[in-house]
Amino acid sequence: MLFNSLEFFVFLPIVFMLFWFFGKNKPKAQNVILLISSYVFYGWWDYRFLSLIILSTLVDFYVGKAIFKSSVSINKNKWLWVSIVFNIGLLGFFKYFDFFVDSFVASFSFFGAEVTNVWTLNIILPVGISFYTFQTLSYSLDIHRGELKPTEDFLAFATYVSFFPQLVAGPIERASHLLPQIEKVKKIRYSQAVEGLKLMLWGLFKKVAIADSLALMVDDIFVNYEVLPSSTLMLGSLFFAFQIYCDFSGYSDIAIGTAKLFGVELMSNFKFPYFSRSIAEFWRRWHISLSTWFRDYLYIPLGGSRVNKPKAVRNIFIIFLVSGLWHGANWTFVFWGLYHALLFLPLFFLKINRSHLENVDLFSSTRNLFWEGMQMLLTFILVLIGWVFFRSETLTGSFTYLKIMFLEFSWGTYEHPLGYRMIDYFILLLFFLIYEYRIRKDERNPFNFKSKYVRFTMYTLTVFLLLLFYDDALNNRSFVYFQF
Amino acid sequence: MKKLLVKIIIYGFLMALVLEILVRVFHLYFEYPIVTLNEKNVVNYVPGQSGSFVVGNRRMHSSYYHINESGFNSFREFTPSAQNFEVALIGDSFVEGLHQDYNNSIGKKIENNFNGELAVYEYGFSGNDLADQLHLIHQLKEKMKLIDIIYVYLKFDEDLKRSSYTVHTRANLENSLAFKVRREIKLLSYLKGIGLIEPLTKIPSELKRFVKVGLKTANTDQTEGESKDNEYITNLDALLNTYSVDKQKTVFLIHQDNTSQAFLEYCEVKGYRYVDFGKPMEQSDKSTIIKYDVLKHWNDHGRDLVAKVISEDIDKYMDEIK
Repeated sequence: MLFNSLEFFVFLPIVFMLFWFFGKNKPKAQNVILLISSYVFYGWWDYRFLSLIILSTLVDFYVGKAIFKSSVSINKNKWLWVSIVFNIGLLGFFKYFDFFVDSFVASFSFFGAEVTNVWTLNIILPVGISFYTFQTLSYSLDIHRGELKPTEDFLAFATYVSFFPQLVAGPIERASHLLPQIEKVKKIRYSQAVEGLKLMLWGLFKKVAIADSLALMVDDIFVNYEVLPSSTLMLGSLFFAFQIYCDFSGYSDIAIGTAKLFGVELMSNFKFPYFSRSIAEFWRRWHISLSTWFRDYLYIPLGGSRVNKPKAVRNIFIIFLVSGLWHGANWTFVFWGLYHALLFLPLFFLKINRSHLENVDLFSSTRNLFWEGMQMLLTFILVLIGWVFFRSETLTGSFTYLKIMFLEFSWGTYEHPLGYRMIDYFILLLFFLIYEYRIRKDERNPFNFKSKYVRFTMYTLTVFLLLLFYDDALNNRSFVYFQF
Repeated sequence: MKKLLVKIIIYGFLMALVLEILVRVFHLYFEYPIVTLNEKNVVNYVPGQSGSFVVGNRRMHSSYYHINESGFNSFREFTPSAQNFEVALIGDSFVEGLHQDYNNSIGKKIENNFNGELAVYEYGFSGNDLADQLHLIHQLKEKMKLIDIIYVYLKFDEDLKRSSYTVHTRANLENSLAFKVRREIKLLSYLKGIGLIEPLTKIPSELKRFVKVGLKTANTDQTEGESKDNEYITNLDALLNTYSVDKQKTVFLIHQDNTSQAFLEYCEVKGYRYVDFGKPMEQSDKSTIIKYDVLKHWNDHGRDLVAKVISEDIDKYMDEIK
């Protein structure tokens, strides 16, 4: 089931009413309702893959206990490896098997050897597998590190793994943050529920009005890039930047908002990344739950930056490459990771990767307007170039795209594939950017106006724009991050 | 909880009110003329209505319509006579042409192709299938007798789902409370127009699918396709037996892409005529459909092509009867 489908808008009020009517002050009943709803939510897409979630839940629940009970370090490690092998194996099998086989064949062909009769699976990627496997894995890792005690409550654990608001596309929650909230009795708070509804509205607007309406043009440009002028390819890259941001952050907003309706707080996943003044700042603001996951469970255990320079550089490359590969079984994603590692390295060597911890404020002084404005623009352009690798089907395709864009400059007007007025989209994006700048200090409160009249006007305007840009032809377009 | 629900209801109501005003001010809603069941027991529009028909979320396309005294959207009145050469176009929304300026319809284009030497009467009504169309011909048989050639637009995969005529549901719906409410609340018309209401109606079937989890295989689809063809041909046969048409002057207007081979064979065997406009549409390097229109009605160029195909067929027919 998709957040942007009408089924969800029927499903959610029903679950909400059941949850607060039958589960008031009863944590067990609340979790039973949440668990069943989560399985229905997931099963609506494909019920067969529910078995994977249930299996993952069972394995990590018992592995977590075994790790905790083991008094000897070697046994703890053994049990941890069971969890790692199972979860990464699951991910590897469903997501990377064909990729590795194809890459193996391609590398042999490169050296002139022909490999035939290769066995690939062509299996469908279960939605959200990259998200929930990382979530369950973090549970075992935290217990192994002594930062978490395993739960005795299987129902709560199963609910934590499959909690429907963030099941298929995150934020990737840590057990230490989400599990205690699931275990305790959840109480409805008016202010929390209202915050949730506001976030849902804003997320839906980003997804439906912006991401989906740009998607058609992005698809068109990235398919026909070889015959389009460079100005159009620049537009394609720009539109994709907004598409992917609004698609994914829109999903996260709806997820966080939905969780709030059930008295649960999820972590923030995006903090206005396009207002970053450096690549390091961009990564502190983009897909935060994944970046911090890799930081805590990969980068720091490898030694992070507290090792000698060559090892620190190695660690930076590892974390960016793995992060790229996490996004998909394609060399384009690996290269995207490598590209960001190369952009990050100079900041690391100059020791400015921890600068810009505060929010940008362009209009506080002329210096800020010029200097920070330039930094923001440069970072945005670098990110745009990176998105070409991310969106292209092949690595050679992405290089050709960039070559046409920068080295064979030509100008041409672009027409919408369905003939829609292009100016509508430029105006929409301009107002969106201005509004995002206005709300940039608090990603969890997109309608932070004191006057209730202004708030009401903004809600109505958002719904109106949502209707104006809703496209029936793209009805129920899936979220980009579902494929990861 | 109570406070939350009350506030959601109040805010929802106020927002709907403001949106209703915005939709009215910018005339974003799409609306059909009022439907009626006339004295000939034919479902069409109340005569004398005129207005503009809007397509697209942001009023990207709008056109004027005019309902003539016979209750159809047309630039002319339908007054067939034995002296003049007259053509009838019978069909659904594609012939009705609310998506185009009524002065630039297929009929007008055909008349222009013949420099006004003939008159074209467009009996189009949205949603009409073959049962509706044959019923219409039957009910207006006095007029049809005077008309020289009749083109019946047939979409094989959509228009042959029933074997007998019953009164068009829109005629009953028009008098229902739900329809009246929708006509008065422009926001609802708008939501329906942009396709937000339809998915709601599909939820029960989706729920059924989820409960049953009946997955169909490709093989059953193919068998289903063949049995659908048989069913449609049986319906066609039943309808043509009930409402016999003049084979000499009745021509089915088809697009071969959505027409089964079974239909073409049926026409060969039974001696019915058909004319295909699919080829020129496919060969056209310009778009033939209206932008923003979910139902993909023909645009000006598409109507040009259809008018040309019909005109060529009329030419041939005129030569034959000379």
